[in-house]
Amino acid sequence: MKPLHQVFAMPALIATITAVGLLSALVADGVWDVLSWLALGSAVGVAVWFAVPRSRRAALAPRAHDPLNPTPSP
Amino acid sequence: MTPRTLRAWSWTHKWSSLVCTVFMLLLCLTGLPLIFSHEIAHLTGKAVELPADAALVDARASLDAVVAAGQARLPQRVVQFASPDEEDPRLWYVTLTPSLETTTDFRPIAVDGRNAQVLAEPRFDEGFMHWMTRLHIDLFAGLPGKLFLGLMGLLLLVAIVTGVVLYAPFMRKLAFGEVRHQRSTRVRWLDLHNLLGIVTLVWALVVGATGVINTWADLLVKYWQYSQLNSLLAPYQGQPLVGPAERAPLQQGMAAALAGHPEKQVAFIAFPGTAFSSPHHVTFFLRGNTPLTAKLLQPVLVDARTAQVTAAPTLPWYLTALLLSQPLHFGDYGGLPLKIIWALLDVITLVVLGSGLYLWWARRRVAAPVLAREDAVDDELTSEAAT
Repeated sequence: MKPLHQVFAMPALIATITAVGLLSALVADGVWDVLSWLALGSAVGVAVWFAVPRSRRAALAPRAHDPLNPTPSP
Repeated sequence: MTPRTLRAWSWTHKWSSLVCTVFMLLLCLTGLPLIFSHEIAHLTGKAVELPADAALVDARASLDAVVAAGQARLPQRVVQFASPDEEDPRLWYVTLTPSLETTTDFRPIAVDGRNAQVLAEPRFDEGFMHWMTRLHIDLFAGLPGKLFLGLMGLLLLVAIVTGVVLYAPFMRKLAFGEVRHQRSTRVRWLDLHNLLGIVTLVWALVVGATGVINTWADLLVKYWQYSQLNSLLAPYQGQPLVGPAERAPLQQGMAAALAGHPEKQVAFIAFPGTAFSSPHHVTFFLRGNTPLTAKLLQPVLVDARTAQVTAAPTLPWYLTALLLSQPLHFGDYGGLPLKIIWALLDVITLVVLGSGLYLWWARRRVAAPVLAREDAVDDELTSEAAT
């Protein structure tokens, strides 16, 4: 059983990044907009990454080639 | 958390979500095209552009000529607002309504600010986007509709907060992001619901809360007039409305308003007798030049007869909050990439809402012994995984 602070560690990080992203573009233009896109875009990325089943996820990510431990083809 | 506490939080989460989910689904669906309303307006030809004309490069017609040109198009209506286009201040929109009463029956007339020529009469009160807008803002039901949706928004906030509380017991035995696809469909969607919900938590809270605040806009403005403006305007008590014939030139009034705030520009102008002004003033709402100050408004009340500035009150905190609630709700303050991300987060929220509905429905259909067996297998598997 994980302690509470471990359960909420990742959610809290994502929440903070999202908050920064929301405020950043509000405050100024230019690089602040880009910061916003990156922050909020990463939240979307995390959601999509974990929502997709592992079998399909493997097809999305680049695979490292290790001659001693060849990864089985899907 | 004791089983009893868990049940109480579950009950609150279930009922707050159930009541508001249908409306939230509607808001998320109608909100999706609204995110891109500016782009859609350009695509459908509803956006007006100034015709290129070398002869007009430095020309500026007086504000009075511009407003008169708009009025002349629909003489049976009255002018409630005038505003320069956000992208090109040489283009003006004169908004005409049936009367001075608050209404959604707007007819904006696009007027060329260089020569006071009418350019177009874009109709926003018909078509697909009109339906999306009205369904989203007030379900076609005016202020009661807005307030009802605001109430649904409050339920959404309760659902989100209780959802966060419930996240803990469900995720105690799982790694972050773990989705048990190999188990039943119901377990899989439970994990997806929790994952997508917790990741979009802050965005959903912000868009939800700012949505609720926006439904209170009419009331907040009325309260401001009652509490702040009435005392400022006490000398004018009892005087009749200043009709168009008795007004000083608008151009003069605008110059007076801007004179006190050299770093600002006009966002919009409210005419005497309308909801955003008094019966005896033209109110110029000014905005700043920086990205943040551009969203905050400074009202300048100009005496409609003498074109003198009566007052330039600082907006109270609740109106500043209202003004900041708009960009944070629409997602239109960070360019097209932000709008696209906003749309993606909206779609994810649709999945959270839909999966929540499915989870409630699926649980109802499954008999208690099956649920008990499922939960027992669940505990067994996760305790195995922990060893």
